[in-house]
Amino acid sequence: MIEINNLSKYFTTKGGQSITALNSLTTQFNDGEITAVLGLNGAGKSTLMRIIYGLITPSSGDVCIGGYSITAHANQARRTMGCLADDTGLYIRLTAKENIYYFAHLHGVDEQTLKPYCDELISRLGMNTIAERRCEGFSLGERMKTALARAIVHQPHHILLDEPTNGLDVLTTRSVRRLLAQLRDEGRCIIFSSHLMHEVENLCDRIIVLHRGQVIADGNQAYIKDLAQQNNLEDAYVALIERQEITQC
Amino acid sequence: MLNRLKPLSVVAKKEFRDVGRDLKSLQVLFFLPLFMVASFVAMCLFTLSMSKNSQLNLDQPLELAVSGAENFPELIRALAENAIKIQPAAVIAPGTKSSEAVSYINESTPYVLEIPAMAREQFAEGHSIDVNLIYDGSKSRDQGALNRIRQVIWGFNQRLGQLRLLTRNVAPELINPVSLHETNLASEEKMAGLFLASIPLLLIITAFLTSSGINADMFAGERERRTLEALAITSCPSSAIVLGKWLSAWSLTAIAVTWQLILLSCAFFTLPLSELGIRVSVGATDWIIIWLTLLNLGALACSLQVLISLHARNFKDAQMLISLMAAIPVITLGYTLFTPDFYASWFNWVPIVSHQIIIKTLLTGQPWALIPIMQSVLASLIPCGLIMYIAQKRLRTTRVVYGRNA
Repeated sequence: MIEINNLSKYFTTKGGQSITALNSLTTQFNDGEITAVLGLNGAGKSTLMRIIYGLITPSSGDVCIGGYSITAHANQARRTMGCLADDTGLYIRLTAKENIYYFAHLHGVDEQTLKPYCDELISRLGMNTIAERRCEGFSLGERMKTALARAIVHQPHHILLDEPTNGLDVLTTRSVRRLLAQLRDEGRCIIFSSHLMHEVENLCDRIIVLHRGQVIADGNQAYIKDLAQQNNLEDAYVALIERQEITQC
Repeated sequence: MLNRLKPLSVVAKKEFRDVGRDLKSLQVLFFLPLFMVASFVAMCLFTLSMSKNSQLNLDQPLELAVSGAENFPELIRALAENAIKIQPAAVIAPGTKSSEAVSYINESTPYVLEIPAMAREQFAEGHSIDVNLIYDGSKSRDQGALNRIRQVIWGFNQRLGQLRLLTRNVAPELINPVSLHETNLASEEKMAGLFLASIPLLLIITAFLTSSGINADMFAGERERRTLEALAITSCPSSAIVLGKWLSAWSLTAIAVTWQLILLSCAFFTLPLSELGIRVSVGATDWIIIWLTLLNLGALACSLQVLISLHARNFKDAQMLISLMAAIPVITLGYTLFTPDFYASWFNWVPIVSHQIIIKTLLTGQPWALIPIMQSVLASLIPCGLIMYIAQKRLRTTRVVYGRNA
């Protein structure tokens, strides 16, 4: 479980202006659940993710990952995390398999566990033809598959995915969905950020809508639709954002 | 302990593999030392060829084209006595401008001595005769022969002047109140030191710059490609990431330095340095100490590059800043090259300067002492350790992972 306690983050621009990226955010991401974090550009999604990774220090509040505070015990917390960051890169002179193995070794995965699991991942993500190829010249989908395999190769309990199905073909998207569903069924905590509403609809058990650094809606799909009084998720999401904008005006 | 070293070796192995597949990095690794040694060899061969040319000119008969030889037979005789063979040249018209005189010299007649028509009368009357030596000063190969002709004419001049003074009952010493004799006490090793002073510069630049591109790519390049974020999210300790990357860069520097020293020892072995009056006596122990000295400096250079790469805005910036680092050894060594005898004991505590002193001492066959070497080692390793400590503390900061615009 990932707990966010009263988390705030303020940035100061070069001109001295203060920007609130997250404002007293309190929520939790449960085990055995896929939680979608939705929000417009600049809503605070990336800042939230980066604070969870432990790469941005919060202005106040804390994040506890599996009981470890990310500010106090970052390495223990990271050991339980697998992250696919937005627009993540690969080592282009290494093969896809070498990229995956490298990150597994960095997480301290032993060779005996690694080989069968890595082979399974490669097979499930349809990477058999690219596994031994250097990543230079990979398509967006091939890069995404490699980065996804790399993020979860150490079988982390907490999985954070930023637009994981971006650029994937239909077959691979389905296999990613199946993989994530299986990971959820194994009791893992999955945070999922996407702009593709049908992806969120198909995969997520819970949705958190962020707007200007605050949670404006938190619940399952039915709850979100009810709250916005809309029949589909995309309309509900847009309606909630618009309502919030009007309220703030 | 082994478990702690494992992530470090994982990072270092990956970096080795990555660099091994990067043709540009490999080219720098092998061609920079080769280029440096080739420059030294070229410099030696050029000096040797110049020296041989001047020797050849002194030993062999020399042909000199003379215009108006019949006007001054005394000088012609003196030239002939010094093995200078006189060839008749076309008569140069009086009042010929220097710009027109170029037509009198060519490949077969590179220089001409012009004796004026009035020379005989002027000589008889005891006046000074203006003889004109026409040559192309841009042709360095003729300089030896020209010097020889000048020396013969000066000798003739002096002898004739002394005879004239004697005939007038004046002691010739009167016109030479000071007589200068030169005694050069420089040993062969000292001469070698002067010549070999450029070698520490070549070696130190290699130790400083070989891994610059690799180091720039390790953090600034990774940030640009967004792999640094993925790396920072892992549970691998920051110290292992930074040290692993530094270790691989340092090992590559070690390979380049070793390669350069092998090339240099081959150059010393094959080049006829003794013909230049240089005796290089570098034993196996000396080579090992030079190697260790360069590795020590390489460690400091790599750590500085790591720090720059961590904080540079992007890969290009990192490359530029790291390239500017080359100015540090060039300025330092340039200064000591032109003031070779300026030495103070605190130099041993200054990185680069102390390394240069050690290398120069060993190359010139002077006795070495352990204390200055240890001082030099500490002077590099202490800042290196401090820099690495700062680098690993900074690795997972927002500014390093996401850049200044995060």
